[in-house]
Amino acid sequence: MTLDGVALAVFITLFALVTVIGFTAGRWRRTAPLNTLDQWALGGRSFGGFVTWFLLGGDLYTAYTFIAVPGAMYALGAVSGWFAVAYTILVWPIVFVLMPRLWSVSHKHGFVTPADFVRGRFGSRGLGLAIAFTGLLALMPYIALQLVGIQSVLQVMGLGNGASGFEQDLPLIIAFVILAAFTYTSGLRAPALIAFVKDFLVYLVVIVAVIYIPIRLGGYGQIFSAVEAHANAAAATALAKHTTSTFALLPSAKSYWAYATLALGSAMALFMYPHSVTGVLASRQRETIRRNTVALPLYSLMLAFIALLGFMAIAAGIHTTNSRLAAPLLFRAMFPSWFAGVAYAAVAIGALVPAAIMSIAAANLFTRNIYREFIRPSAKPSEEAQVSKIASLVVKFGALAFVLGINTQNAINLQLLGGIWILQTFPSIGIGLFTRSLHRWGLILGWLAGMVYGTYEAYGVSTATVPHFAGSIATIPVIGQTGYIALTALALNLIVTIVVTIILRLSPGTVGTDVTAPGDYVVDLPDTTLAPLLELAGTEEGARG
Amino acid sequence: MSTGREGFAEPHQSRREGVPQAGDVGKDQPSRFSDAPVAYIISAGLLGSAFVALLWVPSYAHLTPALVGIPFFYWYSLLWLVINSGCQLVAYQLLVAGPRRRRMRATSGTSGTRQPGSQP
Repeated sequence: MTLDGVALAVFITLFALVTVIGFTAGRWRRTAPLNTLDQWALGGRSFGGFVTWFLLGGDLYTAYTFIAVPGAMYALGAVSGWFAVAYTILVWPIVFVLMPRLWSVSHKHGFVTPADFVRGRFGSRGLGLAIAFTGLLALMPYIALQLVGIQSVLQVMGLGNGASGFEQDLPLIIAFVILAAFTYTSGLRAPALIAFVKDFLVYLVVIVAVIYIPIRLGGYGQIFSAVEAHANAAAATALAKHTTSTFALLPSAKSYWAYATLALGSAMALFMYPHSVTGVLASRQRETIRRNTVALPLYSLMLAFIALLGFMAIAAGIHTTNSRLAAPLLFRAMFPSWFAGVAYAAVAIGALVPAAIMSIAAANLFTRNIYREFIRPSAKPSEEAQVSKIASLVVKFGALAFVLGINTQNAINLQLLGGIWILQTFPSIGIGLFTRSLHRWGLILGWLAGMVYGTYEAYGVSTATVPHFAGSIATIPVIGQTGYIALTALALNLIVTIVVTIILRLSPGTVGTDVTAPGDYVVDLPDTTLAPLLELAGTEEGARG
Repeated sequence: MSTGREGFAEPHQSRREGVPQAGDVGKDQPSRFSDAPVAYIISAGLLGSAFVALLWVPSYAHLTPALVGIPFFYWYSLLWLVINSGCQLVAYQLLVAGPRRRRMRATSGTSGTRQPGSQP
């Protein structure tokens, strides 16, 4: 692709602005030095409703939204693309039920990661380690997806098309070094502050895109007619070749299960991710989260419109074999250069924010649940913060190597793959928030069964061009329909957990100690024992200042 | 975070549900199921409705009736986005905001707000 100078200039200007914000963010709302995990990784746990709304949105709507979903809509249609809309609706009732309890118990006991909670709840270091390991593993492809998002816009702008491999990857590496550096110095405050810029840009681009592009293409009716014609043509071509079309305008009887399980599995998985939990724990009050779930579906609406960009790309006659380029190529074809630059910046910054939050969350997991638990139990708070900072760098560069090393065309699959793993922590975290009647050894064995089965099934999914890990749906045993591997693995996980629990109940001495009490799950701020926080306790409206 | 680790050493006894504890007065203690079973059941129904609607895919995987050229499948999904948001708003009022208002009324004039320094 040729270099687009105007777009590139706009892009670099906006990116530079964000970089400056990122480096100065460390001073924002600072009440203590950044050398403790609470300050570096949770922003002092001081964010009110307004900041939390931006932070959670910035956390959840990522390159997945801007690159992977439109790409899937463009290449595959309703089942593999539009399920994301159902998923991002269903996630909010789940948050409404689970997250206030997690917030309360975490504040009462100073938990920073989901693995901290599980360790305390079930009195099992091994189970805590399993949860921490799963979080680290599942975040790798998710962070890699953010890099793929940045890479996609750079590619469409005409960067990274050089002859040598190093020349191709240089712009991505530079963008990533900037991200790594400001996360290192400013911690969670950097993505929290950049989230404002990101959301402004994203809303601007989305509103312009969903009004302006359909006008140019003759309205939504025209767009859907073009997609229907495209679907019919794809079906006719496939019939001639005696295969079935991979593109679908509607889920068919064969894909009802796939659509529903992808939506439900993704929704249940999202708040098991450590970075989602980080966003929740950084809020100042218990009910901040619950009240936010009423307004957070605005992000889901935005996701739906962004998904339709994939269909607009079809209607606009965009041709690419690399589906993750569908949305950026549509911007290039439809917008004047300067606004295309704004749109590319929105996508890239929209990937930076969650990548920063994810790497902070992964670093916390390593420090709290592996380093302090198994390597240096006597680590001081300042040492923990330092180890976390270094671990955040290692995780990010690991993800970078991941992107440069593997085939990333089916970008949405990177997120679905992480979902298979992280969903196996649901019995320990999601169910554990309500009851500890499941036995800790049952949970470990169930987790192991789910992880092994899920990984094995995903490894076996292949296409003509990709031999392994090509997708995340497979036949569900017993039911015989195809469905999201994550939910099938979770079902196996639960069966094993329950059977082992029933057997071990016969020897009650093996149940671990629970450090939490029932009342801990409903406490709100004035009842927490975190003395420094009391100074910050004010009215909710105070956060808007 | 050093202070929070105290929790691991703390012996605990379950607090009896619904019985006010010392220091409970005036803080935002969310309601429990036993305090307001009807509110909980209604909220569960409201929050569950989106799952039934959106996961029952054959009920809406149709092209018609289209809305301004958008197939039923697509606009119906978005309709549920709005309905679900409304359901969550009602559930929030039932479970959190309503009880909080009642508590504020019940305690106003007696204990008032807690002083920041009064932690045990």
